[in-house]
Amino acid sequence: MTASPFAVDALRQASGAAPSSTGNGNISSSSSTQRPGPGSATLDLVEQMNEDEKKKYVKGKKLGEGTYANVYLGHARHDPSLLVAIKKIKVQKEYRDGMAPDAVRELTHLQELRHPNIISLLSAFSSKDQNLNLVLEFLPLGDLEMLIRDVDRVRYGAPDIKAWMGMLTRAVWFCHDNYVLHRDIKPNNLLIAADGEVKLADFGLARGFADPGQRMTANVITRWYRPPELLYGARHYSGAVDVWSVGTVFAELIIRTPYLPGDNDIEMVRLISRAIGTPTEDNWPGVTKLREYTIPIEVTPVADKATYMNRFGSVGPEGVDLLMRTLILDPRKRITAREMLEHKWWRTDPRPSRKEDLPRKSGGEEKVAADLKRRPGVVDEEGKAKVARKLDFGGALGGGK
Amino acid sequence: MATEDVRYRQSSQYRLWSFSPSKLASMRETTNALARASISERMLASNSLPASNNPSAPTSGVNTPEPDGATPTPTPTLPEFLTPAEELMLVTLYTSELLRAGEHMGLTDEITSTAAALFRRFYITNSIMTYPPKDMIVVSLFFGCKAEGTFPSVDHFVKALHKKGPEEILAGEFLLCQSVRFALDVKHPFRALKGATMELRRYGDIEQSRIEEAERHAREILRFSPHMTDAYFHYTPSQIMLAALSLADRGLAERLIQATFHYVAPSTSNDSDTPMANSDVGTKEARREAKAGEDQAAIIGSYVRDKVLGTIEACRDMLSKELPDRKDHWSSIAVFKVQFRPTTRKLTKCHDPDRWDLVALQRRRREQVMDKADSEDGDPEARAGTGTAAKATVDSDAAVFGGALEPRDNKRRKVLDDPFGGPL
Amino acid sequence: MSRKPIANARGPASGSTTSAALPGLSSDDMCPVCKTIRYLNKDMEFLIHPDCYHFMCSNCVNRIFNDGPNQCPYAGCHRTLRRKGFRTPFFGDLTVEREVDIRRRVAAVFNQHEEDFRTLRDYNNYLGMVEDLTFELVSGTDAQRSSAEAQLQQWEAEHKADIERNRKAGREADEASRRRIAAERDAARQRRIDAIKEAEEEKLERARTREAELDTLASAPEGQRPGGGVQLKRRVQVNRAVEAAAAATTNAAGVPGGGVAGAQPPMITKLSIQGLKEKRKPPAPEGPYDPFGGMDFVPSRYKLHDGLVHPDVDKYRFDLAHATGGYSFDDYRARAMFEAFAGLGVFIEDEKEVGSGLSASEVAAMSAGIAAVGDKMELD
Repeated sequence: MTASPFAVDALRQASGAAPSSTGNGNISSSSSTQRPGPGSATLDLVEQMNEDEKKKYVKGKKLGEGTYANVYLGHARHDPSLLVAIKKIKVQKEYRDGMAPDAVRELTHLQELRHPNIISLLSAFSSKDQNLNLVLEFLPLGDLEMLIRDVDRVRYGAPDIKAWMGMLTRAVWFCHDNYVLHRDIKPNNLLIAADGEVKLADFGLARGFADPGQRMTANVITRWYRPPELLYGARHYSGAVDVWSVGTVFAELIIRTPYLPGDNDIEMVRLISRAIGTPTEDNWPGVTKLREYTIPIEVTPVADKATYMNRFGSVGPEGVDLLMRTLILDPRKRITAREMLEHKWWRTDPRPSRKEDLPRKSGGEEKVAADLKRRPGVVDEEGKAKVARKLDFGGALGGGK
Repeated sequence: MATEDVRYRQSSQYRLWSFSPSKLASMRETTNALARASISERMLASNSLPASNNPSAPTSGVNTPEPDGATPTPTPTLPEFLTPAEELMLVTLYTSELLRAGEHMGLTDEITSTAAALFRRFYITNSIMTYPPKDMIVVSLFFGCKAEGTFPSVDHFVKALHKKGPEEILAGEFLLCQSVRFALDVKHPFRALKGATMELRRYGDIEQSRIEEAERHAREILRFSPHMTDAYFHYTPSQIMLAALSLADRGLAERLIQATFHYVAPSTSNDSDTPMANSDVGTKEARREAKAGEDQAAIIGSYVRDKVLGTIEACRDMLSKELPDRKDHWSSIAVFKVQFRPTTRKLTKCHDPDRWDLVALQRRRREQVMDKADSEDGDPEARAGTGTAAKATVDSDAAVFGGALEPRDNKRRKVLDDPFGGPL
Repeated sequence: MSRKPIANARGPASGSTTSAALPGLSSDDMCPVCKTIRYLNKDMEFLIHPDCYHFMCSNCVNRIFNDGPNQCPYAGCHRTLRRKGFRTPFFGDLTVEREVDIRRRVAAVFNQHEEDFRTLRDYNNYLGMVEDLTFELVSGTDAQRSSAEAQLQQWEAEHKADIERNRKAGREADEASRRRIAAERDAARQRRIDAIKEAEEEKLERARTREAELDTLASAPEGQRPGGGVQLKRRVQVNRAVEAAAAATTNAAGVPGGGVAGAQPPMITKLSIQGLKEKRKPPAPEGPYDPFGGMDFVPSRYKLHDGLVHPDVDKYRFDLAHATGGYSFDDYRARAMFEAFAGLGVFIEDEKEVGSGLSASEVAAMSAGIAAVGDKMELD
């Protein structure tokens, strides 16, 4: 939102012309007095500010619709070439406690995080029907998942992967540097701007780092990208959870299919055991004491570099080294986002592609709308058997999130 | 530029909710003036109609006779409105109530403080004559939880605060969110205090107990005093923290500031000792320039340090007017009777007839929406064609089938079930 | 393409001082070397060699030059030619062919564009110089030709880099415009499809609403309002700025400004170009990859020492739940320290009062002063 002494401007406006008609039918004033005609609608300062904010954008065609939100294409009134996505949050029937957590979280965090690799919140206002409208920057080129899955038509190589990983890592690092956990990193939430820049979106599950002693919920991050500590129900964790997600996205970029697609938590643990290694007291002291730890049926040792090179070798030994460090089972030993950026993979050949050269795909509008309107924490799997369960946000006061 | 300050300036707290005292005062005056104007209008409007035909003039919870409305006097006299000073006094009074409520509910310092900050922000853009503070206290606490990442059930709140039902809390939620311009991340000084004490401990030459005592005391202050003043609008969290620490233990605070802004003047003897001192003119010139630069930096550096000291001192003065020992003052019945009751009485007569009842207001707004055939927003111009056609159909249907009070609920439910969604 | 010779004036086409009029291909009936006439070989093809522009039929070429370099069979022409130098001419008039070849060569070397020059006059002067050189090459005396040739060579040798750059820029520009056109075509096509789709949907929607209304009118219980949930499509003119425009821009690279200096052998007069714009630096070879994209935060007022402890914090250090879940106490410490010092130098009263107090630059200067100071101090 603009930092201008906006309030003051609105104040001057409103106070300058005393009881003034607003024209566009302000609900409260025009209806409360049954006397018709002008002069009945002095807007509150907040109502005035809201109107002003709303007027700045022209809502256009609907890009997508869903249970969580509708997304519209729009543009700035003063500059029609400045395109925006207007995300109108809907009332959720199941949630009876007022404003939905997703909306609150997005507002809270997007207002504070300004970074080229994080989607920008330009404005927010309420529509006449009291729904929250978020004005986000418009990212027309779809999301990373689209590119990954379209194996036939989209080709990319190691330099492209490096470029995308760079953008993603920066975004995550910036969140962590500002003490925010994203908690829903996946290819779906990595939207592509017109110039090829990848931006992290969907902060519906985000929260600030916790203080010691503060419990958080383990029920975050879409299952396939969820780290073992969360699968084991840890209530105290760190940015390492996001780093694990980044690692799984990294793997998916390389093999072009989800790396650990489990149907439920049990299967997730099994897949992780097999692919990466079984968590034990040796490689992760204390793990057996985690709330939802289950004794494994079979114990697989942690995979060595050769195994990874076999499958992921296309990014080179340094790339594999970085990947392995993001998938370390013990979150304390896992690499941090900052350390990721300092890894030597970025400096070895090949250089990351320039964003103009990155592969892209058309038809992104619909997908972006789908992403923006989707409920966080859900894998979108049209036509596939694997469907991730919807997450439950229930939690009374004190339960902590 | 100091990197920490650069980061701080990115925050919404700085960008949207920090003001100079004069600006803040002028904003409050304008809000007050606006409220007077609009309330006057509404009161006058409602006067012109007999009470029965005006369903949208609810009475507030506090029983008061309709302000000059029922009796058709030829010249209706407007009630006496609150002055900005009186408004501020009441806001402060209710802030103290909010803090007490938060403590009673066992909410964390962060949550309670966020709620207090949101509450005070709310009453910058809105007048206390427009929206009822008692309700907004509950809304602020509820929403404060959410803003801090905890999502309580509204029932829990209803129970803990003995409310009639969830609508009372939920009705004002969006309004609050909007009024604070959606800036929900409030930065507090509590963690900063932890950082400061960590640093003090690190020096190694200060008694542990002294630090602990100072922290405890400062924390006590931070829970109360900044919210009872405008500190959050005029000072940054670190400044507030140091001010509180200074009040708790002046020596410690000064030690910290000195250490941070400590500047060591380069001793001139160094220059002559170096072998470079004898080299050619060029180097001497360079050194002279460097020294001038250093002096410049020294002047600027000490200037900033003094400025910081001054700012913290000013904040300290502000906080010292509302130290925790004032809690009793604010909660005392006796004081209330003398100091506050006249104003609260005044408020009952001059509050906004339409907006005072948040639940009714919310309901009315929802109905407005559903009266319009189009629940989507868009360009009013573009609406012309299809919109009016559908609306005409709707109106004619209403004419045919008639409208009743009861079906409205059905309609609302129906709309909510509708896949196209509905209002909040 | 037919190889019919373009009938044109035989003999010198332009510039009566041409040293030798090249025999045109108009006498295409007979190869001057082997004297074969077309009657005998219907598909006779003629080739030329750009060194001397003497033409002969392909049989001769093969016969004479297949085994290696050989002398040009024309009387008086002693040039050594090679098989691979021969090619089919584009123009019937070989003088034209020769001139075109010369021009092509010159243009490859002198490939500046108007944008590279400060004024139009400079550009025209440049063009004039190039044309003079070309003229000498085409129609000059032997002496002139060889000196011009030498100039050309020298210029090319010295400005290899710039020439290459200009060439690349030209290629990219073509590539870009080609891509842009393709993209615009795609977008237009897409738009057409979308418009058709929307129109159809609109029709369907209208039919549906009518149906719905009819249904509810037929069966509505009292008081219910039909059409409450109908959403009507809205068509708003959205600016269809084509963002798919290719990003590549022509990097008109600079050329060393001014004349070329230096000691030269006196025979070759130096060529110089006047009035070139300041050399615009080519996009810097991308520097070392900055991992943080310039947005890193490094504390300036404090350091994160190891010895930062706090009893309220440390009591959780040994809590297994924290440790095993990966909770980071370092993060907490960093955050607490940051919040303790962030905004300390932010003076709201000054900064948030428009038009009074310190200006932004003053604040910056002051803070810069602090940063400078910060380096000197060491927290003891």
